[in-house]
Amino acid sequence: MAWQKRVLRVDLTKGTCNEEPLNMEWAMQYLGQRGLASRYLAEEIDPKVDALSPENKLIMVTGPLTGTTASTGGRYSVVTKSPLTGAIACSNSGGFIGAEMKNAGWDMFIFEGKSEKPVYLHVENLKAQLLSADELWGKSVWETDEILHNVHQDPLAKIACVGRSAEQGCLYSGVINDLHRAAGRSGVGTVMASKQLKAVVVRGNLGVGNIENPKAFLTATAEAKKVLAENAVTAEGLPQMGTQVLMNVINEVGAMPTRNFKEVQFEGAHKISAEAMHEPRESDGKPNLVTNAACFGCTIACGRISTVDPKHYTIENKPEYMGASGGLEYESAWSLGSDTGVDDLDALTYANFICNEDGFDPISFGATVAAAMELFETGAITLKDTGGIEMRFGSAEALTKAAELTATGEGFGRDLGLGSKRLCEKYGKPELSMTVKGQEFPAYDPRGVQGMGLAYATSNRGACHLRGYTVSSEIMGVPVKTDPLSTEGKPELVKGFQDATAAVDSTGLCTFTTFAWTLEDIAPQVDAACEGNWTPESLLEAGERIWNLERKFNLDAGLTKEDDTLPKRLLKDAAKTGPAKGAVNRLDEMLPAYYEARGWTEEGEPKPDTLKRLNV
Amino acid sequence: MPEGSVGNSTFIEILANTSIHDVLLRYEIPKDTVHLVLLNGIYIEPEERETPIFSEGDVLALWPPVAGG
Ligand code: SF4
Repeated sequence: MAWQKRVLRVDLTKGTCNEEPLNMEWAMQYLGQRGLASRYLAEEIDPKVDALSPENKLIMVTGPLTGTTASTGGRYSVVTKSPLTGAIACSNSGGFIGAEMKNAGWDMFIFEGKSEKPVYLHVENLKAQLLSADELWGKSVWETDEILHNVHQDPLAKIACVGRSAEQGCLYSGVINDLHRAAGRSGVGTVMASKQLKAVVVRGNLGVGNIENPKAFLTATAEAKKVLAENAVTAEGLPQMGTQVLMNVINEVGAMPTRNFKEVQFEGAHKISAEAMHEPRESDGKPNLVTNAACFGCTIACGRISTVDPKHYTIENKPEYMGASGGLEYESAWSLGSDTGVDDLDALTYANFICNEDGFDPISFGATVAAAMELFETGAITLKDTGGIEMRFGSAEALTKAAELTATGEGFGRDLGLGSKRLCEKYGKPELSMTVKGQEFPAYDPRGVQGMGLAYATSNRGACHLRGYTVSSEIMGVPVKTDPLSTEGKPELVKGFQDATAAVDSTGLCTFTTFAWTLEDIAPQVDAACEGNWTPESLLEAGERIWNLERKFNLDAGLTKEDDTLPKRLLKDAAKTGPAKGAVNRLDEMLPAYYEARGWTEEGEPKPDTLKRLNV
Repeated sequence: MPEGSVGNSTFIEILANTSIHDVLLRYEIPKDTVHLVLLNGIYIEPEERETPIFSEGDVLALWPPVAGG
């Protein structure tokens, strides 16, 4: 079992909260989190609905291992139709609220309709109610969190909420939980705010029993923890350096998108790297990094807790930013740094604080600022458009001002909240937008890592590294080393990563475990916890099923083969330096073989046989 | 890091027929702690690390097993 087998359906239009049984037939095919909620969403909404209309739904969902003693078993996801991409969105987060939902007795919360007035959901074990959020609307994530903890007089309550950016319609706002953990991508927070739902407060102490074979589960989870503890990446690399260890690595291999992907190596990378976060600074002799941090039940602890230099211009007379808070991950350091050409570690840390404080995705934000900088430097926008900000590559002041404005939707912040695609279209330069399906790229240049080009182009939620992280193989050699500059074998590699990731994303476990674990380590844990027979093969098949279900949703939403592509810059303009010098991404060599490997037609549509085989 | 390093990098002089393993030996870096070896950004397979490989001005980068995302 491991599922609580209970769904909370919240009708925001009517103001009601109702309990219903979990559809176990679907759970046996789609597990939980990403897979299971996608199945519900595909069943319950017309994929063509306007993402910001009351007809869209928003699902907060746990996995069967969420809240158990499995390492990293604290994950939850937010699934909805994305306003940024028009495709299905699933954003995954750690922290503590997922485990709390489970402990309160629930597998998922489904939000439908739209409230007339701002509300928040309060859940205490099996009791759920909607309460007025009039006083919370217009408040940041951090303020909302503090107020709600005070109102309920419960320091242990776990809170997820949206910030001011989402209320203002920024299209890449996330849902932030536990102050600085985020279901960050694709605008899931924007959908939440469009329903006038400000926050979800959960308190649960019912426990997560329901383990099918407790003895086998304890053995399987203990063995799997041992694997994490003995692996150099999960035992040392990630806790010590965080994901940020990649900054210098990716720069060295020449796959570091720089200044809106004009270049592939950033001369300032070392200044904003994990190593730099460990360096004591002049002003107070302390390093940027205060400590690492772990999500619920995690024995890896990759999280970063940082401070901004007390002498830095960004926090002068602003005591609220002087304390320690969520620090830079590789993705945010890249987007806020290399992609904008800014090498000021403290400016990036501050901008990252603002992203957490008001709940917007630092990847999409940094990438949109990068696009704005190129628009500015090419004269497509002027000081008049930016409200007087000199949007030049390398300007820390422009970056931090842009963050402050995007947080509240003021001035040029409203334009930045559109995301790179709509911003570049608005100013007549769509070719400057570095996006797939309207979502901004993460931190790997597909000219230097060929497989990632295919992974981005075919990702069901638009450009994303977490849908098929072939970097792991192409650069790090996990599980096997492949040549990043070759396209050979990449269609199958991408498919394999995509399917395995979809399965892991549906279990309640963190995808970072897969630097040490394979499905061979994960399957025994799922199998011991859940009814059914879960093997590496059946997990992989569930992953493939999920991938095809998402694909079908997107096709039904109106996306086509034409959307499986990359910006011209990456297909036509060769990398200028490094090992990839002279290379473009050779997507056309990979895409047809990928469709074939997937059992799709030349038009990229799953063949009836494929859907039948997978029971989609 | 050896004396004279700036941040995480340093300049070294080596003889023409030096292999990557010779460099590791010189700086007492255990072979099995080095996972990712890049020469001018290009991955060097473990079996190529025994043979002379360097030319003037090359950049050698070494990491333990790393990953992120
Ligand atoms: S590895 Fe990092 S992101 Fe994953 S659960 Fe642990 S602390 Fe959270």
